[in-house]
Amino acid sequence: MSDKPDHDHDHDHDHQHNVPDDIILRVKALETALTRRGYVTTETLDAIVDAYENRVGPRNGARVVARAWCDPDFKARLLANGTAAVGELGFGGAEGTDITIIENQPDVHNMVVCTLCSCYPWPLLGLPPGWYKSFAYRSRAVSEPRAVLAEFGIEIPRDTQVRVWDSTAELRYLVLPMRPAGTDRLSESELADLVTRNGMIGTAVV
Amino acid sequence: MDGVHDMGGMHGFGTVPTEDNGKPFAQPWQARVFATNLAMSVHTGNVDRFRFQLESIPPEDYLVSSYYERWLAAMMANAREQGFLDNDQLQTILAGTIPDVKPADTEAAPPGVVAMMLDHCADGGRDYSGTGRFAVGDKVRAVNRHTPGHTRLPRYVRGHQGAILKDNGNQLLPDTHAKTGEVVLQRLYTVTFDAVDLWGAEANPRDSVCLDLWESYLDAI
Repeated sequence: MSDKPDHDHDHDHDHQHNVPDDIILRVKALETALTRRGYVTTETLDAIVDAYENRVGPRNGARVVARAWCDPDFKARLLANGTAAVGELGFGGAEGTDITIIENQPDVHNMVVCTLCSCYPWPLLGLPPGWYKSFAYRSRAVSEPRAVLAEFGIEIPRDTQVRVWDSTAELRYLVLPMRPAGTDRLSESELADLVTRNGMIGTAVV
Repeated sequence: MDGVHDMGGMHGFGTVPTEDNGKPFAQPWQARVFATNLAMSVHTGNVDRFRFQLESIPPEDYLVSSYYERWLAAMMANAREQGFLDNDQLQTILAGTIPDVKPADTEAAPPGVVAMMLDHCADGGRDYSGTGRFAVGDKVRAVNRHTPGHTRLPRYVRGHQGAILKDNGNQLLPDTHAKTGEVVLQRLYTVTFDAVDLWGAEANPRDSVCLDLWESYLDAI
């Protein structure tokens, strides 16, 4: 990557400068030192990376949403105790020990942010996208949510309430989008395919 | 602390870079930073201290560093504070070179722990014992407190009036946990604030912002 300086910048998009090669060397040196000290093992780090690149991601959340759309009893349990209900599908763990589901209604649109850092429901959505961690989103989602939503291409009617959830504690929020019209005949897995990550953060309508 | 990390309501950061390729890591080094930190949590186990270390990055560095660069800086600070590595070793790492180290008297988490971390599906087990000071529907005011230490009370709600939306039971207070490691459980509430109260008449009168705030962050009205 170092031979392509134009592509060597960090895609978090929360800064303007290129990441120097130094950082790659520093990360390697830190990992090696902690490995030799015996605090971590390479195999464990590889397993973590593999899990978050290949196993934990927004498909998990989409399964939860589709199940809630199809099964009213599950939906009731999900809204009453999100952590226990997503556990029924095998989801839980780091950054997801207190899952809270917030349901969009015809007159309420929900949207999630973490203004202080970038808290995010890892077990259901994986790791956050760059824009969620961006200074622009962290600063503006609470103060001008409708303008932010417009940048995502959605306009919320003036008489619909926009409710923004700032993740200031260990509760991790997932938006339950409204089931799209005309999907009565779709199976649960077909419904899951309609559910987008941004729809579960509240920056898209499903 | 009243740092640049407390961004709610700030101006000047431009439009949201909404495009995204769906990949968790843009570059391999970011994945190694993430994984190293998660694996080290077995030894540190204090996310509140980690967040305070992120907040303590000098503002002129914070604002020009990417997300995982900030993690790296906080991990280095943590390694020094916790004695995982000494100052000379950390300086060597900063220079991009692997330092000489001796094995510590410790056990690393084996790869099998990863599955446990991700699949233990434990219900956080909210503790509703005792009674909170506030009930759902009560009007409250966020305290106006400027602590130099860690807190999860953002500036933009301090001094503003809100209402208790939900009682989340007793939860670990991050302020003391970050500072001393002490486990203090305190009632946590979801509090709703009207957008016009926070942002003025320009805001849509229907809109609101909800935050999870500990009891000591709130005064009765």
